[in-house]
Amino acid sequence: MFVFDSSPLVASCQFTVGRRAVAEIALADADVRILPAVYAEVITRGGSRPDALIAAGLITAGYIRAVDATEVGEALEDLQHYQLGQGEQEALTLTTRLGNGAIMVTDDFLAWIVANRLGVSCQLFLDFVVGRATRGELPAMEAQHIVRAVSPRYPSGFVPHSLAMLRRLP
Amino acid sequence: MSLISIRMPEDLEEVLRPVLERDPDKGTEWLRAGFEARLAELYQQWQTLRISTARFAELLGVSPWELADLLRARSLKTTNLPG
Repeated sequence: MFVFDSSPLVASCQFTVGRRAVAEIALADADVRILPAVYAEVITRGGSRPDALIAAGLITAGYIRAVDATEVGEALEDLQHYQLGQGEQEALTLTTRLGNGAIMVTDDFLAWIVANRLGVSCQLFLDFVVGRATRGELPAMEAQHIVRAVSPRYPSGFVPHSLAMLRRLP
Repeated sequence: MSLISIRMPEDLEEVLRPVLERDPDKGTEWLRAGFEARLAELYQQWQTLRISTARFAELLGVSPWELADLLRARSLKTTNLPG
């Protein structure tokens, strides 16, 4: 199970491969969950923006499951030491509570560091894509198209490394 | 350009009203300068990992989509990943 915060969701709905949003390809048949605060940040506050409507469509299509607030519980006390957003706090809290079965996906470096300090499994969106291709859940060629499509977002090094990992796949 | 109303604290109104009556465009200038200054301050905090991406958007009062638009429009980095 993958718990997304808003950063990879926003990025994957803003870039396209051909005429399809990256999210529509990358998230297909993956078990992706978002928390109430992420829903509010991305869907509610996104309103009728075309990219926000893509995100809303992913929920309607069942690509993403919106998790109920009762499943999250109170935010982890350790998070008070950091200036994280509501969605990131909920994602970290749920992923921590779920233990080994859950992986948080974020492109926020601070959230990524906090997740690592908490011992929570955490991936960048690029690693989520590479991981899916590695497990045979996404064709390697399609994964390469996705990585190239989102490349403007990442600092140098991240994209060539991801492409190299994908090229090594059998 | 559209016309919007915003609440102003009394102490500020005393100072600003006479200026705005003489030069209504000053309000636009102040609004832009204030917003850009706040954006620059938060961007700095975000790049040095004092705040996260979602917190950046919350403190600026925009959605994550709008934050991405604002950063792109100014040719700023759209992530706080190093490099």
